[in-house]
Amino acid sequence: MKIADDIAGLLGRFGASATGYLEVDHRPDYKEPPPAAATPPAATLETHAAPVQAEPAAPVPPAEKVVPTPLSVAVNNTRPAKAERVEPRIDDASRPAAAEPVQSPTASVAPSMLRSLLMEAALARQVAARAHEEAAAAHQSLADGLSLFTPARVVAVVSMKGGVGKTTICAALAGALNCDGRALAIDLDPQDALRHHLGVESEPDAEAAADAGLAGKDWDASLRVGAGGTRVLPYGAMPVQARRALERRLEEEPQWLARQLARMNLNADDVVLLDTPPGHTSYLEQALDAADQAIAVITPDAASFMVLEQIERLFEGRPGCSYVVNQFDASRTFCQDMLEVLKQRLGARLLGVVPLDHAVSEGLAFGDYPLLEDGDSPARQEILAIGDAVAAHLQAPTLAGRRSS
Amino acid sequence: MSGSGTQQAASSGRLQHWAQAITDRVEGMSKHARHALQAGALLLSALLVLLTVTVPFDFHSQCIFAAGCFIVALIVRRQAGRFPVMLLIGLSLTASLRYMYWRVTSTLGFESWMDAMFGYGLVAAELYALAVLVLGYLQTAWPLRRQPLLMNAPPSAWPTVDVFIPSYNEALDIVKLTIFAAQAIDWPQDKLRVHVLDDGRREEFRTFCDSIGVNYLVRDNNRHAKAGNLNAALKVTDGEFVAFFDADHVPTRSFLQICVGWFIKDPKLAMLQTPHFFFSPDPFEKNLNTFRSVPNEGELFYGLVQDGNDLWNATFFCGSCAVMRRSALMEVGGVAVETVTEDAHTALKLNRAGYNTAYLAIPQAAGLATESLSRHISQRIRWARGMAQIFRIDNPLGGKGLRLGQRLCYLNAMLHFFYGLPRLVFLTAPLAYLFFGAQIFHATALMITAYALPHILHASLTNSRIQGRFRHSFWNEVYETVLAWYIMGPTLMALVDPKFGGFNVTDKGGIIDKKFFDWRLARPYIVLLTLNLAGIAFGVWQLALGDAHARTTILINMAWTLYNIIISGASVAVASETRQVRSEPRVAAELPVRITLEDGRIVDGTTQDFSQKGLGFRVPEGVEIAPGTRIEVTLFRNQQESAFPATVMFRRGSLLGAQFGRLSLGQQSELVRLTFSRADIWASTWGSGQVDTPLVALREVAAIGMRGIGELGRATLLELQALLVARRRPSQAFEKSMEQQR
Repeated sequence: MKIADDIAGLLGRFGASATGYLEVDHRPDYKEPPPAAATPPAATLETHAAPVQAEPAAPVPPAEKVVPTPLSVAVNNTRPAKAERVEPRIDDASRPAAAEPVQSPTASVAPSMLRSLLMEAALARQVAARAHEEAAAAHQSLADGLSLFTPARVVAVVSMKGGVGKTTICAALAGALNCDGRALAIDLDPQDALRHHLGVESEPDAEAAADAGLAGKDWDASLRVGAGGTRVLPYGAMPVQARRALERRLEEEPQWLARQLARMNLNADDVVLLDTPPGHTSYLEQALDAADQAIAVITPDAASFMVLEQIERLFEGRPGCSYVVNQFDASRTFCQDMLEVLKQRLGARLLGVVPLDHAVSEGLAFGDYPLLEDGDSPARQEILAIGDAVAAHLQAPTLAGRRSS
Repeated sequence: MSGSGTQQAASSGRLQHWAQAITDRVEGMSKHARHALQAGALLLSALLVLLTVTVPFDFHSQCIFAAGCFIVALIVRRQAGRFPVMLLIGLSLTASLRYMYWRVTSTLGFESWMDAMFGYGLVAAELYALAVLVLGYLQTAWPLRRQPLLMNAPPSAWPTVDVFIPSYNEALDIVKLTIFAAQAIDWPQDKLRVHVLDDGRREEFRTFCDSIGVNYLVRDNNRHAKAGNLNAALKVTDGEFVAFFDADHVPTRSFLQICVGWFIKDPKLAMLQTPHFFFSPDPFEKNLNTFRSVPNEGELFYGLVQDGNDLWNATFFCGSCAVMRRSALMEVGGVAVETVTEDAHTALKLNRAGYNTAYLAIPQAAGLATESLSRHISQRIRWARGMAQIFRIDNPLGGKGLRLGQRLCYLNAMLHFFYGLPRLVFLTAPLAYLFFGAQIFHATALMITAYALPHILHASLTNSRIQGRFRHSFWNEVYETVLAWYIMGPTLMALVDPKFGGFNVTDKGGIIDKKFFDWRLARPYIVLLTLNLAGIAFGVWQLALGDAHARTTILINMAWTLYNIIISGASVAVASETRQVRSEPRVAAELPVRITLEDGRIVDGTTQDFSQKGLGFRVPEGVEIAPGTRIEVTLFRNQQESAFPATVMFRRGSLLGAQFGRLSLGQQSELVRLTFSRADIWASTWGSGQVDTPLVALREVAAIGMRGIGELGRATLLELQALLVARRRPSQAFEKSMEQQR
């Protein structure tokens, strides 16, 4: 047993031995008094989710308010709680419709300009709704013919490099979009990590493990229910041979994933989230093919910036691709600057900025899922906002083109 | 140098071997033989002592004898080990007893009533001083130096401990520290209960205790002050052991594990006391600027006296930083309420009931020293009164249950507080001759020198050797002089009537924001100083006028008066209160710290001092951190580390001072764990002051004395100026009104 240096120092000084000293490290739970201000001052580092308040001259409003306009005017959304969050954003610098990238929002906007923007947004919404109906009709006729496409809406969560928190975001979004129990997440990453992010334990014996997951015959039966009621199809604990066989199949059948999805018992209300391994893999290809929307997860650092080009190349020609910045540390000026750069580069394609919260990664060890359960966590708030944005996009399918190919 | 060292080691080794052989031989003998041997040895040594002390020498023989003893003492005092101490004590006792015998038999032939009055007064004072000297040698000759004993049973077998933190009117900010530290004590969580006993019944304390999960106890009255508070809490708790901490005494995390081991080893042990360590300077250290260079007043008691008491099983409870066995405490009726020094009285009762008490000279808790001289004096008056009360109502010399060693140790502890009158006598004795010409010493000046000087010098030397690490020479006189006038009254009254109410010195607590001279408090010292200065003047006048016959007498008296002037001057210096810059004193400590700046830079530094509110630290050369920067301070303890938000407040070269931001309760607790709770935080500065050298100490005290006189002079001038200005102003106004009338 290693004796702490101060104990050893004390006892050594008085000629006694330190063996036999018991160190007790008990931390009782304290009931903290409520914070004085609604937004915690940047000085306290209790949570690292402090929004950018230090510089009042910042042109960008705080992280949790970075939400594109569709949310603020999308009144036909199913989530009633959102109405409360909508109010402050109307006061905020108003943004034009989603299609135009936002450069530098003005601090105060004349009411007339706001009205015209709102009218444009309403118009765009109506157009989109009409297009959706047409596409749905076309889609239905198509679906009757070929069971190649699932009626459910599919979102792929991708990244070019590892460690950005893609699986975390995927799990969290699944939870956020799971309003009526209609969301499910599918793990295409051999790491098999998604299940752990949703609190689903591994199968006890190898045989069951082999059947559960992607390698199984019946994907519906292999679905497991995790935290927040989200259903998850784990990758499964496959032996190496099986995995190689699966990957060969992916190479040979470019429509394998789409067909699997179509075979599942899903309807138009379902939302499927696909977690992919990092980098340009065959899993990624098929996921992008099968998805209505793709979300690339990046972190505000130089390494992520350098692979942005690769992601953009990947997304070429595929509409409905957006970005989420994860692990944003507001107390670091470098992070803030980096975020600025990314915002300028990505514009409206940036869906949201999730703050760095150690509780998330630590929670994984203890079976806590703050992104799915902790209502007070700023990170979760952001995830919910991103989820809303995703839901909104999914309802305005401009992507019929992909499916009809 | 090393040669003689090994020679010494070899000789002491041989000596030990020889002593061991004799002891073995004696133990081998039969019981009767041993008793006979002991009785014979006692008789022989008694005769020897009697002979040495009472043999009358003429002047020359006395001088030679005294010189011889002194030379031996000078040689022996540099040698390490316990045996030289014994020898020094023997020589000192010889010199002092010889002096006293001669004094009592040959110098008391007085002629006039005035001579008799002063004369007997002086002899009485000297007898008191001798008694305290002898008892002091007994108490401190062989400190036990108890070692810490860790628990050797598995944690499931450890006893339950209640930690009591009584509080009355201390601010939550101060008590918070103690409560967090008590929670952080290394002890199985289910067996450690922390209780805050709030006699002030304050709501914010209740809320605080509730939010961090410690017990909050109140009672509906305040009878018997702290003792009553503790007794009320004892009734509603049930831990096997009780630990006591005053509201501002912060324990380290190793406190219980170091102390409780002894209770398991000795089932009869009822109380174990640890030192009261202060991390802020007391009024002496503050006003005389001797913090950490001269040992403070408490170090003699906690460093040596209690350790010596431990040998005789006479350690007494000091009210805080101690652990007691509940069964023993309840057996004597809880904490004693009959006197104002309830702690010492409780320990006396425990000893009488047959229990043992112990002392561990390892500082495991620290607190704030008294902030101002007036508070300090109030506290000492209370102690002195309490001890006098115990002397009167529960005298250790009488009553049953105590062994001889215990009786004498307790007696000395109480007798010590009667120094008021004797000290004043010593400070004014030579004036009797210089003013009134009273012949209080019926002997020639030379004989006085031959007898008194060895007595004084030997006592000085021996005390310097025994106490050198814990008290410097001549500081004793300063401490006593400062308090003498104030404790004289209470102690004498308490002797006469123990129930007599207190003497209150109004205290000026709080932050002393500017330097001021406490005139009211310093009055006794100013009087003494003035009298002695007048005495010197008289002496000079008499020298100029008077006959050569009396010259040596005058000179001796003047030398004594000069010494008194130095001591009085130093006391006056203590009354000149310096400015207290910080409202919350900081603990000086060097701990590793890591600073993280907003731009991501990480700088490793060392702390210089810390408190709950902020810390000072040093960074490597060349690192630029401007005041106002927000930083994150990471402190470590072993593998643990924690970060705290802070803002840099000032910068001086590579020294920076930072103030912590708003910390959550968890962070505050964490901060305490990483700083105040460190097991070695106090031990590293304990007993590390400079060892005493009498001559250097004399020079220091003399310098302080001169400074004190200078301060007094300056303060007097300022007051006079202020008075003059006040007197001038009305005349100006008068003139103005005259002008207007015209």
